[in-house]
Amino acid sequence: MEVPWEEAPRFGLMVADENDRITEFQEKPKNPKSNLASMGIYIFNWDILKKYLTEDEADPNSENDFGNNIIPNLLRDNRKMYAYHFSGYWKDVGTISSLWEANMEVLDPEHSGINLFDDNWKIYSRNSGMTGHKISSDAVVENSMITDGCRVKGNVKHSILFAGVQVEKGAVVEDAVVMGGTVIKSGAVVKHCIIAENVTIGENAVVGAMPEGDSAGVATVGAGIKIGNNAKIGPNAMVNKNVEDGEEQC
Amino acid sequence: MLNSNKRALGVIFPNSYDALVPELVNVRLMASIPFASRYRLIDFVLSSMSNCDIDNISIMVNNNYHSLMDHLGSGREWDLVRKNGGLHIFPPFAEKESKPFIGRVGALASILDFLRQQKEKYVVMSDAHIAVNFDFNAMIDAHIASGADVTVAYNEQELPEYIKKSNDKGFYYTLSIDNGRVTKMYINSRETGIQNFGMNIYVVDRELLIDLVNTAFVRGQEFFERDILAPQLARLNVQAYKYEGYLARISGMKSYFDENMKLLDDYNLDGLFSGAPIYTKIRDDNPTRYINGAKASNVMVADGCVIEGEIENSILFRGVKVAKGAKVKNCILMQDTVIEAGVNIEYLITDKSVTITAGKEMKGTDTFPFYIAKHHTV
Repeated sequence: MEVPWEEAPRFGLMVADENDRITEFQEKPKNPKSNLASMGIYIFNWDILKKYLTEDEADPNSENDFGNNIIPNLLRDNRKMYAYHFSGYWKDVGTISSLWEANMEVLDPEHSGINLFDDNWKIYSRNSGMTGHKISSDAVVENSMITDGCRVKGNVKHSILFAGVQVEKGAVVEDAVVMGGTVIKSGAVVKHCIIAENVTIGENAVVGAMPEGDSAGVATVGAGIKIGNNAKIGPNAMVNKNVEDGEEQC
Repeated sequence: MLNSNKRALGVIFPNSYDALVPELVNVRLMASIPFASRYRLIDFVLSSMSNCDIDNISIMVNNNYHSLMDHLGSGREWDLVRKNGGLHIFPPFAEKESKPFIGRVGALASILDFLRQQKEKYVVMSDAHIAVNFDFNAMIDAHIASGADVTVAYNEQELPEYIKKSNDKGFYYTLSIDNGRVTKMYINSRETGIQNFGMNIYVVDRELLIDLVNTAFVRGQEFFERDILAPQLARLNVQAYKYEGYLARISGMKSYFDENMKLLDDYNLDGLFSGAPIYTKIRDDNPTRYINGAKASNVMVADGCVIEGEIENSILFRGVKVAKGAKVKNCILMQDTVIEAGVNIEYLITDKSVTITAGKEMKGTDTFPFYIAKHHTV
C-alpha cells in the first residue's frame, strides 16, 4: 500500500523490484527509502514460517519482532518474498488524529473510498440490543451517523454517535466521534474531538474546538470521565481524570 | 433432566387475535408483527420469559407462521438453544380427520403427551398481542403464595372503543375481583369506565392444566377462559394478578398505529424498555446515516436507514430509505421501505419492502391511516 511520504516513517516499508520481489525491508525508519507500507497482512508457507519462528525463538539476541527480525532474516537468506499491491481503502488508525480522520471519512464515502455499506460485504460487529434511536423535535441532525439507543435533543453535525449516546437539549456536537453510553448535557459544546465510552460532559461545558490557523488538535476524553459543568477543555487536551466544574485545560 | 429445577414452562399462542389486524396478518401472524422500530410482538413475551429463567417454551403456531419461524430461528437471540427444553414450535397436527385448532383447548390438547413428560410444576401461558416487559417470576411467586389453582394477569384500563366494535373477531375478558379472587369473567364486555382487563397471561399448575384441558377437549370445548375458567369460578381458585407497568395492547390497525406512535414519548418508551432487556433477531445493519439536507424531528429510527429527506413524527424500521426532497409525516415505515425523491406522505403504514415511487403524494388521516401491503410498489 502506498502511503504519503511524510507518514512513511510510521510504517514497516518495503523496497521492491520491477517484479514486486521485496529487496529491502525497513521497520519504521527515520529516512524511508520507499513509501510502500506493509499492511501487516502476510501469507507464509507454513514450513518456512515455522522454521524462522523456531530459529528466532532460540536466538537470545533477537527482539522477537516480525519487522525487525523475521522479515530481515528471510531477506538475508534470499527467500522469495513478494509484495501484493492493495488499492482499496486502508488506514492505520494508530494516532489520535488518524483515528478521528478515519471516522470522518466514513461520513464521506464518495471521496474517501471507504464503503461500509455493501450488503454483500457486511462488516459485522457486536449488537447493542438497544431500541431504535430517537431524534426529538428540538434536535437538528446533519450529515451524521447515529445508531441504536441514542437520544438526540440537541444539534449534531458531521459526527458519529455510538450506541446509547444522549445529546441533551441545546447541546452542540460537531466533527466529533462520541462513543457508547456517553451523555452530553444541555448547553455543552463538543467539537473536533473523540469522546470515549460512558463519559459525562457537564452542562455548558466546552470540549475541543474547530481548527484555527495552526491549531488543529483533536481533543480526547477517556472512558468513564466526568467533565464538570462550565468546564473548558482545549483542542490539544487528553483528559484522563475527572474535571471539576468550571475548570479549564488546554 | 437439566431443567427439572425450573419452576415453570412457557406456552405462547402466537395466532391469537389475528382477526383484529387482518391487513398485517395477511402474510404473517400476530406474534411476528413488527413493532417499535426493530422488534416483533413476540420478542416481548419471549424475552420476558427468558429473562425470568423460563427456558422451556412451546409456541403453538396455527397458520401463516413462516415469518415467525424465520424470525425465531433456533431461538439463539433469546438464549433458548438447549439440549433440554429450549424453544419448541408446534405446528397444527395434520391428520385426515383433524382440522386446525381454534382456541387454547385444542392447541393444548394436541400437546398433552408433551406436557405430561415435562418436569416443571407450573405452566405460564400467554398470547403475543401485548408488548409488555413482564416479570413472570413475580407472578409465579404470587401464584404460589396465594395457593391458587390458576392466576390471571390483568391491568386496569378503559376498554378501547375499537375492541368493543370487534367482538365477533376474538374474545376479550374483564374480571370481577373479590379480595384477590376472580368471581366472574365477562366476555366482550361493553362497559365504560375503568375495567379489570384480562391480559390473557396465566399461571396454572401443570397437572391441573392437563386435567382441565383433557376434560374440556372430550366435551368439544374450545376456549380456556370461556369454557374452562368462567363456568368453574366457584370450584377453581382463580386469583387475579394486577399488572401496573406499561403495556401496548394491539387490538386493531388504529391501535397498532397509536401504540407505535406513543413510543415517541420517552416516558412511554422507558416504561416499555427500562426493565429487563428485550431481544430480537439481529440484522447486523450499519448505523443510520443522515445525509446533508436531511431533517428529522420527533422520530424513532432503527439502524440501517439512509435519510436524505424530511421525517417527522414517524417510526422507521430497519433499512428504510428516504430520498432527497421526500417528506414523511406521521408514518410507520416497516423494514426496507423505500421512499423515493419528492414523495409526500402522511398517516401511512407501509409494510415490509414497500416502494413509493418518485413524486407520489398519499395522505391518510389520524383516525384512518392508510396501509400498503408487503412488497407493493406504489
